[in-house]
Amino acid sequence: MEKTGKSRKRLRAAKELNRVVTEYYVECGRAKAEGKPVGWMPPMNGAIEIFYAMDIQPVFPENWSPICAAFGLAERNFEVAEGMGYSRDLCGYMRNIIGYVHGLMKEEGTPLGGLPEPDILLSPGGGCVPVIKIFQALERRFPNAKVYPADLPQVPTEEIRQHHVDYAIAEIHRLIDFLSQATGRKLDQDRLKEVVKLSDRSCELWDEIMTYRRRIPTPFSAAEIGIMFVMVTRQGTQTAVDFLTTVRDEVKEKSAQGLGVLEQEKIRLFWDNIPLWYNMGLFNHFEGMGGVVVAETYSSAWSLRLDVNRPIEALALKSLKSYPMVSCVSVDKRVEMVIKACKEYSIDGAILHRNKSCLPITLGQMDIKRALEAELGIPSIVIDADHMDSRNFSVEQFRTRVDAFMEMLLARKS
Amino acid sequence: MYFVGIDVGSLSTETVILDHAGAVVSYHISSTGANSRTAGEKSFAAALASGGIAQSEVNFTVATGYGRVSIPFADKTVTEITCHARGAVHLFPATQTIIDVGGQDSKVISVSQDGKVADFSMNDKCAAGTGRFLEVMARALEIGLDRMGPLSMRSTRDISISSMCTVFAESEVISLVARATPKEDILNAIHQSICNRLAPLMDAVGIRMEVTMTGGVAKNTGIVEKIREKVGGRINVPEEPQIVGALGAALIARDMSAHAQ
Repeated sequence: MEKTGKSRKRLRAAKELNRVVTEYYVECGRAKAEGKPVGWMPPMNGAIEIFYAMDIQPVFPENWSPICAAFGLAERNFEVAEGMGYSRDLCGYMRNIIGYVHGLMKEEGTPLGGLPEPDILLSPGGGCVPVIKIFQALERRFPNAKVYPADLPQVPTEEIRQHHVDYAIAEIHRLIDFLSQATGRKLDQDRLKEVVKLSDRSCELWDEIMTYRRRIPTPFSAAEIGIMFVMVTRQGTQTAVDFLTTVRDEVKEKSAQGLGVLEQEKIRLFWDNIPLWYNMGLFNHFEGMGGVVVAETYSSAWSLRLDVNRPIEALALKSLKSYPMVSCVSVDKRVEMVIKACKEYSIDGAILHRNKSCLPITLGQMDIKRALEAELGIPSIVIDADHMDSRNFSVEQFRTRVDAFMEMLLARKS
Repeated sequence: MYFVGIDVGSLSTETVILDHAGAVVSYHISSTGANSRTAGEKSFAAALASGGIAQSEVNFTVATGYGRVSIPFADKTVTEITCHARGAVHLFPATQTIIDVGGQDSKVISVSQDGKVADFSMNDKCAAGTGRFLEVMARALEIGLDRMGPLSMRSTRDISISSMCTVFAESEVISLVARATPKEDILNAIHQSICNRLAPLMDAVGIRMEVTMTGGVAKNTGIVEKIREKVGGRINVPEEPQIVGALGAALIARDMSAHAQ
């Protein structure tokens, strides 16, 4: 096993995904060249649908970071950010994007053409602190970009009340007004409905795809989780729906034929927290011992269905719920999500990635560990790593821990 | 017919050879150095020589430890968690909890009634509180590893080393030395800090008696005493705690060979 490496993928759709990723970044660059407004925004909120509906090109610095990790550009970006004085202890997404905009972005020849400069910055007032700080740093780097200071209360999903929704709706209207003024483009309500419908359809397809992973043997593993690219960057487009339909058809067919990742699936694993974007090959590591990572935190992160008849309210709810759902705004809710997933996917053991780069999502892991043991009798192992910075990852330590964990699970089953 | 276990750790490499009845015929301990493959080969050769055994008489070999994958002649690799559990339960059959402090890992393992690993917890990626930490502190104090335990027992004053990082803790020790703090008090504090690092691992897994301690650090009587205080009961310490991983590997080799036939 190497410190960095790509995963071995088995879905035919993986090739299609490469095309979808390339096309998206080419589209971003082309939008800039053609004078179409380009807006940078954080992922997982209802602004993406508004951008697509108003024909404004959305760009996601947070998605660019995994791309940098996969292309081996992250270390260079970290060097630049750390050279500017950003501490190594800060979020890897933050150091990567700040390093990128001050370094590689000014050079030619970046894979996928790099990111086009923003005309608009959707600067969040919620989510995690690093994402707020990333956009504040971007505001200084791109002084000519028009800044929309977004705001949203951070409420555990189970405590969202009507006044939160009303406020979020008002914020969506404020965003639409801002974008109209900034770009001169008007929002067509019919077009918005169409986009929200496509967005909802992608969520529906996502859920359907995930359902097939419950089969034993599972038709695909976390090694293929890159398919969520379209949920991050393409929600509300036909591209997302088409791609997910292709994935669904393939996974459905495999399920019908009883084809799994492994013929002899012995251990079904759950991966908690963000993957190591520079080493997706880790997900294949378990296969040698008969283990498959069947589900992960992200499996249920895109299950937010949208009410097509009330598009603005649907997007307001999406904005309110998306971040709290996967982070630990409510630890109880996060524990509940993991427990539910482990039940549904017939999990034998959980791998809890204690992520140095993302403390909000790591926060509730001891509660998760205890709840899994107490409620389901499922053991878990904590491994120390970092979703962006390979310098915080030791292959040997990882291997010793997970191999011992696999030996334990296999002995339990025998 | 013989069965071999080789434990290639980050600091030391051990080989244990068992006969067909499971009795230890010979064992060997050496430092790993820069090349785990060479360390494994040399350790294996030395153990064979000291037992007067020819390589052709070896029926099955299991490699464990960090360098387990670099032993080309091993029939099988097994992680040290499984091997330590097997070895400890073999030596002390009533063992329910194992505390293993090795060169750069510390772990607490809980075993079920049938001797299988039920749960385990390991140190985070920092090697503070392990054998490596102890080596650095021994060097800073200019004292042999084997003298640390007995000397610490003479401590009369409780002081504390609070830094979590080996490098920071070392400079803390150096400043204590500079202030002419007695070495026995510093050692006592070092041992306490190692015990403190182990405490969350013990809490995570839960301590059930009997407790057996394995790994090179169990040779330090000062640390064993600190853990005994924390656990509140007797701690089994094997005669040679450093070879328990290799012993477990050799026992597994014997089982696997029996299965194969």
